[in-house]
Amino acid sequence: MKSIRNKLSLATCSLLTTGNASAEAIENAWELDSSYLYYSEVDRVTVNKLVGTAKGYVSTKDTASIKVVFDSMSGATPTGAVKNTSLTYTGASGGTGISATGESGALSDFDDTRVAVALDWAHEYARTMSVNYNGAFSVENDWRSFSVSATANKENSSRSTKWTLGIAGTYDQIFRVNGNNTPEPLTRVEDGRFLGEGERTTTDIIAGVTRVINRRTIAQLNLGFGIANGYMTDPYKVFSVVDAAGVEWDQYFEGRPDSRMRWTITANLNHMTFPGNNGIHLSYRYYSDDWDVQSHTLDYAHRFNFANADYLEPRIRLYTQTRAEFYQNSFVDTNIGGTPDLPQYLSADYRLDDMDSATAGLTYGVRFGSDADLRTRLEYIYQSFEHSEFDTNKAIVFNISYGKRF
Amino acid sequence: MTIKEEVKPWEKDVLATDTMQFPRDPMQSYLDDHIYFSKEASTGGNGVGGGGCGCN
Repeated sequence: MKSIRNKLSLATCSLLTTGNASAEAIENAWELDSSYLYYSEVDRVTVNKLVGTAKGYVSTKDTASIKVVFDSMSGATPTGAVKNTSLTYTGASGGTGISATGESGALSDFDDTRVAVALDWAHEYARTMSVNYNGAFSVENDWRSFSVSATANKENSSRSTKWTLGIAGTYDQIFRVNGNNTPEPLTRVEDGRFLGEGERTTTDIIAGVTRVINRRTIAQLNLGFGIANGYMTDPYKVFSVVDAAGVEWDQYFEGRPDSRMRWTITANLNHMTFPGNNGIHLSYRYYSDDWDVQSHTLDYAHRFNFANADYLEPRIRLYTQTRAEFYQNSFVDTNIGGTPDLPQYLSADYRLDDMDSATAGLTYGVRFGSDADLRTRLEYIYQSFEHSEFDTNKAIVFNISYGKRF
Repeated sequence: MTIKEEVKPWEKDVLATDTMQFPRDPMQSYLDDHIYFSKEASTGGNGVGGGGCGCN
């Protein structure tokens, strides 16, 4: 079976069909990939992540794969509260998974683990037509997520153009640890008013075209649309009600709209230089949603391929976003002790603020023969925020991956 | 960079390499998606499915 598939694949020189990633890969019936990621923010969150994938070419027309992910997350994360407070802080959560640190409660410690499994099956219905089916779940102390998706790929007869259409449905359950509940949005933290679990359904659609431009260049354009309904609030995030001097005198749970629509336009380009055979990899994404968030993402990587099967790849990623329309770092009310006249939605989550971000990184990869490879990368992420209580976030990323084909 | 003529099957050696695929490294793309999904308000653009998380 393996030799038949090899001959067929090589004879047709299929380029764009998912699963036949390279001329070398298709000579193998099984592909394993494993990765360890260390992500650490300065004085904040640390994540250790392990990922393992196995992909098998189970017939001449079918590919099955499984991905298993284990995450361990801990550290301090901003609650949304300001640092300058007159409150005797009693904690935003009350759970053991996340608890207030410091006097103001502007940061909370948390500790969580996550296990996720994804199954994928790709079937080739015709020489130029295939469909990928995917099912996935993810479980952590305060979140459960289930998703299914199908992505169809259709190529033209010469396989120089591929059209892609994908749809996914996701169902999420959101709750706080040790309570399986969510706070009633825009209520006082001190009142401790809680509701049941939050639920969210999301539908995502993507349509794309991938086109061979010339012998050394290939380009892709994707249009994405997503709509989410249900509980969109973060059950741990709060905001401060402050006086004219910015001193907190009360604290409320945040509240967000119960729906969100998103649009993306993404363009990707891969080019191999001549001479030199170095890779130029450029990507741009425009994002917009009905929370008034708009963003631009530019990603550029340059791969220097060396003669002895190893490579070095510097990368830079630039990102900018506008804030959500209901984002405020705090709510000003000079009627201290009264009931503030809050807007319909309000969040002080720093991730919804005006933001600029840059990532600089370096990847080194090496092949061992034609069946194994090792990739290591080190990156530095810098985020700056316009209004948030913590105006920057800095992180380092270390990642090592090992792939083996049998 | 113009489209002059169709690239013939026997001319697709370069295009068949790992570095010319989308994504080039599915593992790295998956890890990046998770990092930036957790730290930015934007998400998506290169595929659908895979599930969410409650990352802080």
